[in-house]
Amino acid sequence: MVSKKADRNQRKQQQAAREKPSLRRVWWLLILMVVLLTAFLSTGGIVGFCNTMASNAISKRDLPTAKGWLRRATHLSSDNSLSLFLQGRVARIEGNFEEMSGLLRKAFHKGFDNKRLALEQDLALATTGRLDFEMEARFNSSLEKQVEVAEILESYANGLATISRFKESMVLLEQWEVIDPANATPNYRRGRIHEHLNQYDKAEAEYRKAIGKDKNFVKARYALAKLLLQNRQPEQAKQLLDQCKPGGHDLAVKALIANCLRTMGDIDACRNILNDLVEQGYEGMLESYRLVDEVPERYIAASDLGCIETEIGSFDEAKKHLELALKYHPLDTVARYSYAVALRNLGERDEAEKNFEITRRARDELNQVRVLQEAIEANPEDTDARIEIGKIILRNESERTGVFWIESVFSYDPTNQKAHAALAEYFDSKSDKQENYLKLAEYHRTFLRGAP
Amino acid sequence: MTLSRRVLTWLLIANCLLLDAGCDQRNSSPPLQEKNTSKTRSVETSSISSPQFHQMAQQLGMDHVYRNGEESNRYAYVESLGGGLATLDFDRDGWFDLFFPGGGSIPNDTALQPLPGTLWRNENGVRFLNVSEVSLVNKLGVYSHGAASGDLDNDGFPELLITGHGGLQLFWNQGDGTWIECAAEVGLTDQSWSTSAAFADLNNDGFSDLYITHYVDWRITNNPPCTSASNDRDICPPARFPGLPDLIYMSNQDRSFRRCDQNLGLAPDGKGLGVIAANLDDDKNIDLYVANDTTNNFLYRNTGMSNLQEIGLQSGTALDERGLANGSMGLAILDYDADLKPDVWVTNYENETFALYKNDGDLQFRCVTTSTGITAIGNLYVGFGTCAADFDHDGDEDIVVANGHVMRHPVSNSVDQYPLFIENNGSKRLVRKQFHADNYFSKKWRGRGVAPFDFDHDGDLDLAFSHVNQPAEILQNESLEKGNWWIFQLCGTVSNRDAIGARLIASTSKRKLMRTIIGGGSYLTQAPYLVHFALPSEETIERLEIRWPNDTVSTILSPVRNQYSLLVEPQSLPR
Repeated sequence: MVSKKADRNQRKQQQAAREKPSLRRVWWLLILMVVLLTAFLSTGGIVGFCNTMASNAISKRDLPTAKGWLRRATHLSSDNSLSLFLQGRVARIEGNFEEMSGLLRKAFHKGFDNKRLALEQDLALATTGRLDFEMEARFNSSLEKQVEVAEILESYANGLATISRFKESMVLLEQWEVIDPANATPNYRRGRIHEHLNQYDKAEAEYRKAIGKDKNFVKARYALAKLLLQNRQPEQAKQLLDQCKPGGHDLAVKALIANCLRTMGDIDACRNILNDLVEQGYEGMLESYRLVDEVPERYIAASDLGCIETEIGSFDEAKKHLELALKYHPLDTVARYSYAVALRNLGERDEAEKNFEITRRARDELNQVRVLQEAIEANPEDTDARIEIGKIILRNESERTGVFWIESVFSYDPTNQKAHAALAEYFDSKSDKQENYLKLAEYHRTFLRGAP
Repeated sequence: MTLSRRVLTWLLIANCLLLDAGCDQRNSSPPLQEKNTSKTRSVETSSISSPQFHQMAQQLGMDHVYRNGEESNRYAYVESLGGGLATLDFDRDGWFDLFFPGGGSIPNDTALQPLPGTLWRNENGVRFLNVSEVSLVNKLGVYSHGAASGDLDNDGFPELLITGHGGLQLFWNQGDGTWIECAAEVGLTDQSWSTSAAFADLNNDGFSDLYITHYVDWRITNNPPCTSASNDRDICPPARFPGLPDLIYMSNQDRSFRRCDQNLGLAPDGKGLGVIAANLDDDKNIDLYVANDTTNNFLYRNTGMSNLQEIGLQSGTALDERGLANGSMGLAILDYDADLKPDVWVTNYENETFALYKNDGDLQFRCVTTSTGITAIGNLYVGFGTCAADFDHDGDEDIVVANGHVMRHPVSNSVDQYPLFIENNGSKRLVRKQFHADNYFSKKWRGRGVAPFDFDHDGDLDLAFSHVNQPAEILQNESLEKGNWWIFQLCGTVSNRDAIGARLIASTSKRKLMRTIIGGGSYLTQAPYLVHFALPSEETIERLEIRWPNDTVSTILSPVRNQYSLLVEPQSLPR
């Protein structure tokens, strides 16, 4: 009995000894924590941590997360040059070049690495297709040195695609995929190029590869759904969209789901979604579309809803929605025609006639585009035809596409007087809306003969 | 009524025995036909099943092939159109016969070689006999596409017009089984590339006039090389060639015509492939709708005295629901929603949906393609010939479409395509019907023309299809349950003989149904000038109102069912 009790006491003492931390161990832990804290603070501390997280998020193109980390970093230190640089990078990726320029200037004044700032500006110019020989040489040099490889490949490839150098762009995207095989973006970008070239099967395959790599890659899901819808596979398209994880892209995704439902003939469900979207407002839609790489030149929700209301004979409702759609996008030919039909059925004959006339004029002019395109197919260097197409589309259908056609002239003749004059005129006409347009107009005027 | 009593007799309406008005009764009673007893039983039932169609051309001895000459590999643009067909009772035996244009070949780079058309006499619905040679319709003329027929001199015998590249052929029916080609002699001297044609009395003088669609200014000597998206040599797109203005020939009432299109206000810039003449606004003037390839479709309001006003855009029928011009080919008129107003159905090119324009009255239309479910059918089809009729005997009109590509190497599509049977579900929805795997509708064809006709006189509508470089086909409608049916042939006495433009409204205890007699329609094809009504067996027509083309109205109470009836226009009726 006694020996059993003694054993029990001994075991208890041993267990207590095991559980009691030795003083030495505590000291070591404290020292380690101080060292780590010192290292943490010496490398930028919380701000640095936030920047690192932001940088990682940017690499994954998770811009909302990146912005969140950068907000925290700025809150702690408003003049951290790396934070400013990363904010500039986010602005570049989002296409806000004016904002990017301001942020990079601030980063410069805070002493940020000048070479990296210059590279960032090159990347911005490249993205918009403003590549020149020297810039391309700089990019190639950086790629050889393995500096900012992913960023350069993406911007460079985008830029080449923007100026229709698709083959070279594809080569860069292939390189990117070799370097970073887990990254879904190169496949997505290749899909976009194939789609642009009407190579729909190849585009679909690339989108599917991208989704295979990252099932939450909404841009690829959205692009594939759009493609499937275009190929009249609305059920499959809707299924893809239904599986998108929630996010800032929700409105754009819902608008496409509405389109799927419309194609499937489920008008009631489609109307319900579109009504919800219209209530969300125009600006929210725009932001959402940006997140799926879309720059719609229609207020799609209002325009589509108006067209459906016209089709089912709810002309008052149609008028309301179509007026909203046309307020934001007067060149929306789909809305314009439907608006005319709605007005006609409401007995507003004169106003209807005006809108039919606008539609007629637009269609008459747009009918010439195909003929001009054939002239370009026969001779890609027919810059006059390119400018004429651009002007017709600018007037009647799409500002972005119109500008694209005129700018395409610069691939063949960078100083083309007619093209620069056309763009100067166009940007002048927009200058009351944003100061940027005035700068662009001035830029193009510098190419005109006799310009100061 | 048992089927044994549903023998196919022609009923002359009592007050229409107007032999002096040109309605000759000879041959008005088609021979009796033996009926399948299993069908007799099924007629007794009230439920209506969907139709089943069986390929019968071979069994009936009909073996026409339209040739487009593509084997020369010149990728001539003319190859793409193909050929249509005409259903006509040329010998007035009560059985509708078939005519097919022959097409042509392209032996060299300087000329097109025409091929003869073929005429097939329907022998009591049991076989079709090739009578091309004895009837003299095989005279070579042009590289042919379309066929249209109508009674141009009101003698009861239909004439036959053939359209094509480089001119027209008009075969005048001699009434003895032979024809004389006389286009130039009667003033049809058009030399352009003609496609579809519609007979219609545009100035209400009692004689049919002629609207002819012209396509584009292409010649074999101006045959540029074009490539498809796959970079293969292929047929050029229509944008490559300027469009040609359509034309109108007005009847001089003496078996001759005068060209009048310059005076009538025709739009100058179409690329016409299809035309339909129908009274769309319930006035006394027949209107015209033209399907153009990639340019706005035209709607001509006939304001009387043959003044035409093009109102396509304002009417809502020029463009699709997106406000875009389509590559339109085939046309039909139907009242899909039973509101007693004729709606317009248009078949279009691939990546465009077919279009249904709902008639809101006063020539105002709305494109209702989405809300009727047509978009759900898909846009992979290159739609050509089409027709609307009640094939399943449920009272509403269904739609049939012949599809087939114009390109020889289409990207993401096939040259041969499925034809479509689109069922009207009676709730303003149009749904594609699926068939068994061995059915004609489950196989791919290079379709062009299609027309409904009751070749076997059993009261349901069969179909005739034309294809490119493939044998034409006759589909026998084998619906087991027919319910009640009525087939009316109208005979105009004051109006044009074929009564093109007439509108019939049938009232039953449950609903009203509207049908019209149209000129033209489908694609390069002529359908019979007959009106077909069908209803479930518990439902019957209690009152039939006929609005004749000259705007007079006659009424028949409880018209006899399950038989053909000839309705003759009374000469004095209230307007």
